[in-house]
Amino acid sequence: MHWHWEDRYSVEQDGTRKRNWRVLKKLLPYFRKYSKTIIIASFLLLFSTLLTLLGPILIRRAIDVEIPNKSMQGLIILAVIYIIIQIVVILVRYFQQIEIMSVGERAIADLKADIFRHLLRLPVSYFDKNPVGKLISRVESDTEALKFLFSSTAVVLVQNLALLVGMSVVMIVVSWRLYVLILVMMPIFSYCFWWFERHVRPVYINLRKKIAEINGFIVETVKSLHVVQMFQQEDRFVSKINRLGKDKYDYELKALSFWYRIWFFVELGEIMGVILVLGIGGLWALRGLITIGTLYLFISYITRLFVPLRSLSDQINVIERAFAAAERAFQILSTEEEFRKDEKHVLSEFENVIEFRNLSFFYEDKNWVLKNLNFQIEKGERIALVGETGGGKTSIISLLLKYYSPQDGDIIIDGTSLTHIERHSLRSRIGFVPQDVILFPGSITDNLRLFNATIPDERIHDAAKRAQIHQRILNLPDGYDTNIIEQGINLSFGERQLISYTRALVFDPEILILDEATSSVDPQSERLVQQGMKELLKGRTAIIIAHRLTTTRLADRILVVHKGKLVEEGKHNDLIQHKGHYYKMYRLQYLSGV
Amino acid sequence: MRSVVYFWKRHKLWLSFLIAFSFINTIVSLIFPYILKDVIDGIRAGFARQDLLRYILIIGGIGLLRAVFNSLLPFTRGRTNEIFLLDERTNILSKLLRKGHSFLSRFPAGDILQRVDHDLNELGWFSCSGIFRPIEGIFTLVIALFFLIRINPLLTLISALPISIASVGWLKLSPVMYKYYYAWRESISKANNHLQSSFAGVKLVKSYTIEDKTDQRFLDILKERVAASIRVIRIEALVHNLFTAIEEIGVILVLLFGGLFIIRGSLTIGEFVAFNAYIIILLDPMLRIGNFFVSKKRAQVQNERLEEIKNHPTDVVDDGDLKETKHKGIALENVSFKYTKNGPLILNGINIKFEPGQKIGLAGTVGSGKTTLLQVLMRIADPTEGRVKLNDADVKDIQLSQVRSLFGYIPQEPSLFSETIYNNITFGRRVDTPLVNNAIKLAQLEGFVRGAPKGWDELIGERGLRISGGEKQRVAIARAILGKPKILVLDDATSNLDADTEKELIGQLSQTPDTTMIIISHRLSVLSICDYIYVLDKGKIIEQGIHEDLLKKQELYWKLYQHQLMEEEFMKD
Repeated sequence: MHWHWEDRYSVEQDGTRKRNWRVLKKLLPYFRKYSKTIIIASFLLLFSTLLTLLGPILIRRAIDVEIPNKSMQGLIILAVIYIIIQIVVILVRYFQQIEIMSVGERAIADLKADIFRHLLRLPVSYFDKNPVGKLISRVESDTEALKFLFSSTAVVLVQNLALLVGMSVVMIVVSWRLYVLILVMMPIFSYCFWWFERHVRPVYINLRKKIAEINGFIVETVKSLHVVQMFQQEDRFVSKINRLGKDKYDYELKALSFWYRIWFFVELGEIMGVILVLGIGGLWALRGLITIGTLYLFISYITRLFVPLRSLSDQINVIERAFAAAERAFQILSTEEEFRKDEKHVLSEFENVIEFRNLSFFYEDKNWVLKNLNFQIEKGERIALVGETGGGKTSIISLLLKYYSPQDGDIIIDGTSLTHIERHSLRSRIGFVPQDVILFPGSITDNLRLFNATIPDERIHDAAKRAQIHQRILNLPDGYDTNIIEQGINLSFGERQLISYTRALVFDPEILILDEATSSVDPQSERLVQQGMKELLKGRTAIIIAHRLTTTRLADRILVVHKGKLVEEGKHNDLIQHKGHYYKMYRLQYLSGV
Repeated sequence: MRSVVYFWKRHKLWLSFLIAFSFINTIVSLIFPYILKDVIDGIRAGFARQDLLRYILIIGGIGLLRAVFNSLLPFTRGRTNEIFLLDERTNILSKLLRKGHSFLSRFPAGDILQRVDHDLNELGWFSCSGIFRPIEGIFTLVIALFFLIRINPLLTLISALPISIASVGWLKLSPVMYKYYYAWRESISKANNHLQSSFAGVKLVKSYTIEDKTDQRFLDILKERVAASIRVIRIEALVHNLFTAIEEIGVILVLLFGGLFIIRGSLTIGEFVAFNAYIIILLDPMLRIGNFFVSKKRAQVQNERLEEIKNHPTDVVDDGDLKETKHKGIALENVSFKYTKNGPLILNGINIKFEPGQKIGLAGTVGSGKTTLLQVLMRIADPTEGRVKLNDADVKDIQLSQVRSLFGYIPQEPSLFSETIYNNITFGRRVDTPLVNNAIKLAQLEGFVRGAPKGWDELIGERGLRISGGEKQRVAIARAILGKPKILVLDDATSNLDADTEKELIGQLSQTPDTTMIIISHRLSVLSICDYIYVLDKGKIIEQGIHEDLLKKQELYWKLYQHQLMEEEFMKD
């Protein structure tokens, strides 16, 4: 579940018109690809809309000509024409609707894919700042709002424009006098919509703020439920939610009263039009200036004219929101990707040594996390990093993976500075097993080879056998094809861990970075996980962030990192005898086992 | 849907008014073509100008009435939705506020919000608009048919038949549509799951350099999704156009048979025009009635989701009627506790008595049951076995408010609200300013309050001043001591203060001679001021005594103490 205060607060005030143009300009390329379909569909839309105008014309002819002439044959001809027109209209509409909506669907999928692609290439620090829920709503809900704008609002606009123009032409031809009467009402309408749009917007902004306040209050209350109960403030909290609810109710009522006015006005407009046509047109008809069929035609056109006007007024608020959402989505596309200048060296093989030289680093908050760190890792060596949480272990491996750049010092692989090494070639040499196991929607196989279809099944099965998870996978309902997320398979913590190890085994990296999970499991699984780890470490250069003593024993060398500095290094037994930091940690762990 | 039924039971008068109003509104809206018929026939017959004027006035009057009604009706419906929402939201919250542990562990805050926000809103729409739109549809159908039959029964039968068949077809079609909708929604959640995994695992994606593969995968999922949406689009377009076609069949039948009837002289042109108008009106109410069944199903699900949180049992029942304002000792007698029937014992045969003025310490490893013990003592939860006794009476027989007002509770996680510092401290109680000042002083908050731009009127929390963990804890302390509680409970409430400040603050608090203090602290040295200490392990008391004695024993308490000393030493340099 995610809810975002900031989204609901994003108050858009001035410059909205400018912004709307900006958004439209950015949106255009996504639809250009489908311009042929759009043009054809628009043409079909215009065509079918204009065809529907023929209905009342035919009935007018029936009233004025065929019926007075008592020509049954004429009537049948009219009916046949009407049927043909309707069949054409319905068929055209059917295809046009499917085409235009599909284009909307496809274009927005393209946009989604673009935003996603761009996001994945943003620096890790961007993900530190933006919670996952927020990013998902950028890719998902914000673009959906845009789709609505295209396939609903734009269509309604085009259709209405066509209706307006088409009806005008017909009415002018049939009776320009009556048309002039209707024309008088137009400026009044435009003014009315303008007035409405201006006045209703602040009400909605306030309303959204109130809703955010109510939601915030509910979350706070639930999270502090026991405190509220112990201080016996239940009644006060009930009356507060009631008060906030009443405030919201007042805004809703205010918004409703604006809607009431616009509804009333549209209704009134329709009735005014009918009265004008019927009153003055009726007089003209009595004098024989126009026919009864014409009267019928005008009245049916006027009622038709007001249907889209009503739906247009419904969309005012939606349009506003869609543009605001679209702007947020496009902002992502203009965020800069990972910095890759100077990356000229392609690391094809790791041969000798990784050196960490005078490494100093801090995150956004500018508190030093690493200070002047110096050490080396020889090829084939296994290093365990130990130290308390927040001491800088994770930062060391993040720098090695080029997730961040150090403020000072350098990491050098086989004599080449990391700044010059192309990041993909670097990362392909490294296998990273993070603390939390990440599973993607898809089969176990998909998850083990990470969608890389070129990796053969045998390699996957072999890796799973080595990690001793093969049999467990075969026992799942669809074996390797089981979809863990969708089929709701409950894998134990240890099993998930082994899946993560198997994944690394499949990719068979030269350098392994393993961030050991902190949570403990039952002794049985613990043993399996340890075994899996041993298998994974075989023949590799490895850096392990170790939380368990059993894990540090797997390392050739232990580095103790404390408050961003390297304070001790050596083998387990030596460090114990040295009675320094490591010894203290060892004792702590021993004691916490009580 | 009990809440909706209950709502209308309480607003019977309003209900009958709305029904009557909808009925009148429908008549007013539908009478127009009937009058139009007379006007057109009149014009054809060449009637006098005054007659035309009279009809225009009637149409104008009815039109005005229709404009008022047609806009007032959705307004009243919207207003009623909101009244329902307001009532029900308050009602749900008042129920939530009485829930206990089992509720909180079952429903995460985000889930509760989703229900109270999204589900309730939808149910609110259904409560009035959702019910009255189909009711209006029925009225429209009945009244339009009434006028149609009045004009010409035979033509009505001929032209309205296909529409009736269509509406039956709609009922058959909607489950098919539902299937497509379901598949479409599944494809959306699949895309969202992929986004979730990719963003949460962005480090993994980058380290395995599978950015391209992940893109490709997303494209594949999107492709599936587009296909599923297009299937929905197709069926929707089909249904939409099918119904338009059926509507048009009605029009054609009127054109043909109406024309025939006119030629034969059994129908006037005015009647023909009116028929045309009514036949187009008929389809919409049928669709509305069909839609009602869909929206009712949805509302039922939403209602269930709300009932689920409303009806979740409250762990603690307030049905005692004894009054006990004095504290002459509160005791846990053979208390055992588990959260679920088959779950592990969190507390196991606990016996502790807390005398007035005593300072008691609780120690133990993480998960040993200390916090649960406090919660049972304060009646946030009731023991599974055994009793809690206050002055010789079982606390279950005493009014809950009486029991709880004995305590000043400071939880592990300080619970602050997005309000002013002052309101967070007074927390709904009316207190004189000097008392508030005193509490602030005791909690060592003076400096913080003075430093805030608006003093104690400064907003804190989500949209206010950012405050540190230690400051939060001190605000919570000030809040607790302000009520001069008989029993002050500190559940590791000073963990974010440095050791010296913590010692000084707890020393200060323990100066009040009559107040019982129960202290849990991460730093065991703080417990040296306690008159007695209980050490818990796996829900049992395994050691007890005073600080020095417990240390001498060199068992669990001593180990915990050593552990903490070492940790402190370790962090020092």
